[in-house]
Amino acid sequence: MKDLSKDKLAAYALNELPEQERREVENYINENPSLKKEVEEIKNFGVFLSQELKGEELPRVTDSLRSSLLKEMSEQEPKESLSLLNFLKGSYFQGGALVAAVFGLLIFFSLQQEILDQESDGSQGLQTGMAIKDEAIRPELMPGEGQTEPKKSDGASVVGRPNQKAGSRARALGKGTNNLEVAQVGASGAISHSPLKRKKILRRPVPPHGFVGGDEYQAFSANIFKSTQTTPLSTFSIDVDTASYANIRRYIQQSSQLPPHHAVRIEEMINYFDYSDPAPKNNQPFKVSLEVADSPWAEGRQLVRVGIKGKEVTKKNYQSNLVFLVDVSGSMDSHDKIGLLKSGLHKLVEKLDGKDHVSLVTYAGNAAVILDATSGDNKEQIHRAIDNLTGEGSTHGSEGIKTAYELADKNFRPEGINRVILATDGDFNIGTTSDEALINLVEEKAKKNVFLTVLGFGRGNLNDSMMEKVSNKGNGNYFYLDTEREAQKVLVEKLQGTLMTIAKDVKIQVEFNPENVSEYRLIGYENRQLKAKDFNNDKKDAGEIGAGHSVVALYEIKPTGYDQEGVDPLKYQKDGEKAVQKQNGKFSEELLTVKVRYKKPEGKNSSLLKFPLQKKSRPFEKASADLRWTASVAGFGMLLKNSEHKGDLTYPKLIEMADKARWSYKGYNEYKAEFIELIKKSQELAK
Amino acid sequence: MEVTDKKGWARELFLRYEGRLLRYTMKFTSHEKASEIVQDSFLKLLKQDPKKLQGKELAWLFRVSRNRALDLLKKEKPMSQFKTGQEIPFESDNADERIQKDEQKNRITQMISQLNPNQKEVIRLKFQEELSYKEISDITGQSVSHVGVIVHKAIKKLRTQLAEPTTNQEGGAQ
Repeated sequence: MKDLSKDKLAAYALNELPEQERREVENYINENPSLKKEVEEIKNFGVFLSQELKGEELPRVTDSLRSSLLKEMSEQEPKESLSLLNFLKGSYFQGGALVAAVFGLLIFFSLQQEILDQESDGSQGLQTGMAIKDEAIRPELMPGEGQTEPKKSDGASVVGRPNQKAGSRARALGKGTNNLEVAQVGASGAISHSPLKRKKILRRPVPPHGFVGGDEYQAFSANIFKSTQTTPLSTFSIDVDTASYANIRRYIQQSSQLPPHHAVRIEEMINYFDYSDPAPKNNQPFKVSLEVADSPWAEGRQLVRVGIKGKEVTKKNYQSNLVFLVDVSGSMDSHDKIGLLKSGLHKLVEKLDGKDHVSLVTYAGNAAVILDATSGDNKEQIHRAIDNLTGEGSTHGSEGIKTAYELADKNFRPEGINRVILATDGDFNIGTTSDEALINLVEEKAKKNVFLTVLGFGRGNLNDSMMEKVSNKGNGNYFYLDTEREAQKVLVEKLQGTLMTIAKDVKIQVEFNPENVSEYRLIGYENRQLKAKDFNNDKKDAGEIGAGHSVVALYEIKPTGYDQEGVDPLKYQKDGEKAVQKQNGKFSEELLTVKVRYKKPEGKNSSLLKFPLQKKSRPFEKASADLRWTASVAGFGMLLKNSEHKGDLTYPKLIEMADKARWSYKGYNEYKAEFIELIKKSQELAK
Repeated sequence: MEVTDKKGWARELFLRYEGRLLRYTMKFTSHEKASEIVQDSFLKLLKQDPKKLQGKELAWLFRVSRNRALDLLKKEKPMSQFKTGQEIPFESDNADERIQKDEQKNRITQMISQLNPNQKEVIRLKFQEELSYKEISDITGQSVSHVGVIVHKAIKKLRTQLAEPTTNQEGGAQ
């Protein structure tokens, strides 16, 4: 390459060149080191621009259009002709409908398709007539660019909202000026935001019963293969947290670097995704699905997938009493905190109905009840109250949590969900007394079935460990909302699971049959290990599972008959072997038994479920998409950690594996698409 | 390999992309009109084959919404012509007015609003929406290499301005 055009250099810096060209440019840069600095600067500038722009508030489609559209997209898979009828009934078409009447539905459909394909020709396929259609459309100032004056019109119901929005935007923008300074510092050196956050996430405390021990920052070592004869029981607590995945994603996508090994917690990666494990049919809170297949990365080994699916709860089944306790202290005043929360809450409100009751309490200078148990039917009122949330004042939340619990008690639904949802960046001083007093309060309320969920925001002063501790004591869960999309996931898509605990203190114990399994290794859950005897100890706390949640564990096993690398034959266990055989081959087809202990959300004593698995393994390619996806995620984790167990797994192999596994499941899933992008990018970064 | 629940698919995409798509579309027109356009796009989406759009859903939605917005604008002002790559009314309405109104507005947004419309759009698609050159090319109809040139020029301009000691609102971009 003789000359390098500047736009190519930019394209290189922004990672936009095809492989061939990328290499050429790279070589050129290596010969002209002065360009390196420029590349770095462009890269950083790009990150800076994205950071600045991505925070711009996300508007919502006007309410009436929004609800009609959501309705249109919500019916359960009707026949196409049926949905077309709905279309016509809803008068979404004007000109098109006449055509349809003449040509019949099918012809119309294909015709429509053609028209649609020429989106830009201006013909009237889908005229936006509905704009003028009904009275429900209200002018509403949204906070994007390109807006003119707010139109003043119809009625009181709109008054608060637009202006509030505009106001909150101005504040967000004011904040933006500060961000600029920070980001500029970052632009000249390393990318600024990550290290802080990284530290916080890593500070997630090791549970007291964890086997890691020692310093909180300490890296944990991956589970090793254990001999079935010496250690036939594998015991751990479930974990529905997914923070590690979000963290890894941030490293790879935003900082363009591979995450450090100890930031990779494979179980949290696996549990980030949805699986199609069947839900329980009877009254059980969950169902366990087991599957075994050959390992894709090590010949002779097998993978056992344990899939636990929490009961789905249909909306009509229960009432809810939700009290949002929102930290509106000054530190919350930024688009990635209060802004994110507000947009998330607006979306959540759309999912509520008359059975839900929402209260809103803020705390900063004083605790204030903004909204008292308002029915989910009353959406406009709730939206307005949400808009009124602003981040200002200093935190002094002594009364906040008490007020929130008082409201929750006042509106208690004996048969429903009662939950306080604390939204904060952790910069709080939530009681005049100690942390301990706070935890006691939360614990005591949890016993009375008012649970606590914590939503963490922002970076910097996020008090990660405190928040997790508090939510654990409150039988709740702790989510870190870093992006609009994560808020969407927690507050909208997974709302049921977020709010409704269906079982608590869920522990898993797997007993391996030494007759068929010589060694096993649990992939992930290093921090969640329990002692074998803790399994039956009801005083031992463990993880909660929410409605519809999936929890998945993956074991890698070595069936008997394969060499146990370098292990001397056991001197004392011959009798043990005989004992197995004495079962007269009764269990000789069984590979293992999974036992699950759990308590009902309001219960004190645990119940036990047992699920045996037969040894019949399948070739990996024939395994279910769920198993293959789980293996892909675990495989990615192993590559990121450069695990000694990764066998012959490579990035290209992994990409193929994940790509094959992603579509056979329920259809399109953007998270899975994104995951594959992450692998691809990691492959580049690993070079 | 098939999407069995098309509505669920569309709904998922809507819930995920509503904000971004609307934010972009609102650069062309009012919130109200942009909402209609976005709604339109999703109704169109319901008629698409999910498999064919796989991996291109967002870009498709952006493209369809953009075309629709430009169509409507053409109708409103029959005199205006904006073909591919030419002056499009992106973020154009009363831009200066808004800048003055929003004095708190951060510097980088101010600087972007002074780029030419084509640059503004491409910069936003690239950095706000984090789309690739290829996707931007699909959306705007410009070639990938042209997108590259625009990005480069816009970055250059922005970096130069940012390096200046004080905000020069009048400078450069006119």
